[in-house]
Amino acid sequence: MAGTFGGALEARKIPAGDGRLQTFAVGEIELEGHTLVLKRINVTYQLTVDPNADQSAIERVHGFHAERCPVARSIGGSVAITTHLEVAE
Amino acid sequence: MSEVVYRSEVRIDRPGGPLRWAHLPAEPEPVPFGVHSEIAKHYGRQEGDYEAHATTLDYVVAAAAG
Repeated sequence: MAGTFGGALEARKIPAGDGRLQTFAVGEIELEGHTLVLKRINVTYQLTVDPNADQSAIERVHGFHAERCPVARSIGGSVAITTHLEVAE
Repeated sequence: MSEVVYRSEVRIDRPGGPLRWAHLPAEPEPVPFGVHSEIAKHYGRQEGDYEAHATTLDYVVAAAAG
């Protein structure tokens, strides 16, 4: 996810390297019978931007990036993946 | 919804380009995610302009197999 999100931001000239994009994820595992099953992944991005950053472009990229992430597309039918974006200057 | 019995907490650092470092539970050192071979070509990377590492999809395959 972070690779896709960061790459899409940079394709739009919004810097996302050098520590600007921090990603935290929590995967929640439940017990189904005797089997541990990954049920959901909650991803939080913390993005540090310049004061003149295009906020609407950032929000737009955040809105569609998951559908372009290879892993999210591969497992998203079985594991609920959600993302949250925090932007700071 | 059943009770959550374990929460896997990870952090991803992204220096830039295709390289990411994943900080995983119980692992003292982060593991790299990157691109190589056909995946690098898919993303338009030229040989020599990136440090080859296993892709996130490689890790999914490994996780399923492991």
